[in-house]
Amino acid sequence: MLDTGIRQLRMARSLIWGRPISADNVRRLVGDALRTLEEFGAPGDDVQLLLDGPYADPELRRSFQTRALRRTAVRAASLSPFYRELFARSDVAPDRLTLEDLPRVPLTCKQDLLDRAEDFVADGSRPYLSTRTTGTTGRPTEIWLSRKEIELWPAMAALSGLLRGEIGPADFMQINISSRATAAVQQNVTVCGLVGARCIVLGLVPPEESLDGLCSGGDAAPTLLSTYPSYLAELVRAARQRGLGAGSFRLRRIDCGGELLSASLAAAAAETFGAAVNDTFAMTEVLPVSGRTCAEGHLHHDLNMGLIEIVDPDTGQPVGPGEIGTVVVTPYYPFRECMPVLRYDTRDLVQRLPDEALHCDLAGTPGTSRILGKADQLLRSEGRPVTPRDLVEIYEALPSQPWPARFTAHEHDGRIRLSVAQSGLGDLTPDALAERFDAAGIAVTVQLADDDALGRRLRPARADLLETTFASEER
Amino acid sequence: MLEQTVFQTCVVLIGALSTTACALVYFRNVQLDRPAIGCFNGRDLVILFGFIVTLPVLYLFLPPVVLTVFLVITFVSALSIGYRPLLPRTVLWAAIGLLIATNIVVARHQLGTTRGWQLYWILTSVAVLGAAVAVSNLYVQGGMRLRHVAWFALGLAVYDPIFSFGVPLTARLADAFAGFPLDPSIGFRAGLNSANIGIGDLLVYSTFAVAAYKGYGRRGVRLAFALVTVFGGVAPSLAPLVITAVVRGNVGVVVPAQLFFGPAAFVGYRILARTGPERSMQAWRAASAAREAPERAGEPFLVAAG
Repeated sequence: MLDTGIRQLRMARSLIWGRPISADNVRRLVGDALRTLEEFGAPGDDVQLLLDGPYADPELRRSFQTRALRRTAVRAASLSPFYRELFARSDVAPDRLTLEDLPRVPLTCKQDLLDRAEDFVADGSRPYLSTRTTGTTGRPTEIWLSRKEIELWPAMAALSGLLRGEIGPADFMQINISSRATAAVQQNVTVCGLVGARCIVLGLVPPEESLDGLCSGGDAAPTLLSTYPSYLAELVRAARQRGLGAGSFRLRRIDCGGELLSASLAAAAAETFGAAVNDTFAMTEVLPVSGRTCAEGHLHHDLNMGLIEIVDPDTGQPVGPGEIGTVVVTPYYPFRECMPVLRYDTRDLVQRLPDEALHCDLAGTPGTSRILGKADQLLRSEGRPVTPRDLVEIYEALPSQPWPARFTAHEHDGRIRLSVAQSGLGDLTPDALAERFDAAGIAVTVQLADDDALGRRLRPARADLLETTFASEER
Repeated sequence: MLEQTVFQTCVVLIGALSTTACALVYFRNVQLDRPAIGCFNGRDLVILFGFIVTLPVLYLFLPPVVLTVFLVITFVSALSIGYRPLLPRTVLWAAIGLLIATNIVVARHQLGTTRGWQLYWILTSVAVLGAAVAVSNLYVQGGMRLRHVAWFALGLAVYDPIFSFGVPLTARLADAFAGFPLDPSIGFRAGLNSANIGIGDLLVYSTFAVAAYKGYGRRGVRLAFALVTVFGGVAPSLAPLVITAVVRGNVGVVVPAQLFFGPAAFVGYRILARTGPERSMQAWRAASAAREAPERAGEPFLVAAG
């Protein structure tokens, strides 16, 4: 118990003073947490304080954020060729940076990472593992991680997961994410290893094979599933075709991320698999900053690891309460060290919540709306902004259950022209679909597109990154 | 000698059994706060042993004022942590302040008479009993297992005779604490007879009993009480009749009680361990909840905790 206290003090010292965090120290804390859970069945009473950090108090939050931001900016300005240039051109001094000054620091965008990837690698760091985005929203971006990062992040995730009761030694995780998402796969596998859970990495194999894994093994079947919403949609469909229901599985939670998860798909998955569906936010470019969705549907980013801003997608200025903006993330040093990014514009849209106290289960950290889609897909219908989520929620709620949503949407004469495949509509006519959108206040003209076997032409999804297997060829 | 021995036996048994019983009652009814992560382990045992070995030496060499401050901090910490879940903050701090202040005043000004000594021992005993109950629960509710206590007692069975007979530290300590404010022991005086039992021994007994109850239920606590009575109370008290080395002329006796209790506790633990795995706090709570549920519903008692 005393050595656990010393380890916690070491970690707190690193977080407060911005010193490198020892991955070994965090791994030992994971061991301590495991023994605590084994003895008591649950962490101690002040666990929420430990998980939320000092961010529930706005004053304390501001102080911590300013210090972490300066530390991160100073390091980036001195070690990263890209940011050295950026600060040299700018009139902002990194060591005097304040939260108010922040909008004066230019945003870093995906194109910067694509064009000058090597200039983002910090001098003196030792890149160890490269991870790429899946490229479903454009050219894949490559991020280099140091060995320390790939040891530290899973250890932090394992500690958090254990204390939140999200994973434990009795769990078995099935991983159905793209094998190219190296960091995510590595993180999940290492987290399982640290907490003593079993795991199987299947990748995006044909859904039938994944289902075989999910419903076999009896008491030893998977309890956790990590996947993308589009692949989850394929799994739900395949399970229903086989006549499988909640009683056929042992799953207790499904972690989804990387795409929009609609309420109807989440409900269908929860009903079919008998498990809670957890809508998470994670993005290769801003690792290890992540976000989780509370029971009330707010997205809460982990403020311990990075600074979150919500800015206007066009002007880059902070948006007001109730307005839609894009999520801009600055992962803090010492969590992110090999390839730091400052003010990375994810182009993921969220709505800023009103400035009122939250009362949800994650109220300890500020929240936003769920991800509403990409900024370049934001449309206007009769002057009103329409986000991809607005469209997906209505479309995926159709009786035909057209998951994952396959459509294209464009502005045309002040309305939105939606191209859909008839197979997605089922018995519904295009006019009937337009009426549903009208009822939601979105003026839409629906036109039928030619059916595409995979639907990629209409709207690519991560489930399209299917990996073939010999077993699937034999089916 | 016989009169002193009988008196010593009574005082030690009352001290040992009342502390152990109070610790058990506390364990069953009061849940202490614990940190988010952390569970008592073998390294804590080594650290604890380190304190046991070094603190008495420190006590002997500290100036009286510093020692008093040290003892006040120790007692205030133990009592405030232990009784925070039971009493409102203002009542708790007032009670602790009153107890310690009167103890110091009585120790300084009232020890000229037998009545003064008796008042001193009552105040000291109350503080020590309260602290021992709190600390033993802090350990066991913090994850200390019977295995840890048994090994700890076995270690003390080696330490105690060495520092009683080899290096007479315990005797010097007993002399140094006699009449000192917050003497860390439970005792009493009647006429010329005076007897006491140290907080270290009380902690070992109460921790052993609570851990045995947590780990093995009623059979554990029955065995623990038997061991505390025989090897923690009776045997050390009767020792002066047969072991002359513990008698120091007319200045009293200093018995290394763990010499008797340590091996017995370890054997007791091994006997209990043979009956099944030691329950965790989690398992104990589940068993308690299962036992209490039918009792609350007014149904027959079906599930035994032990």
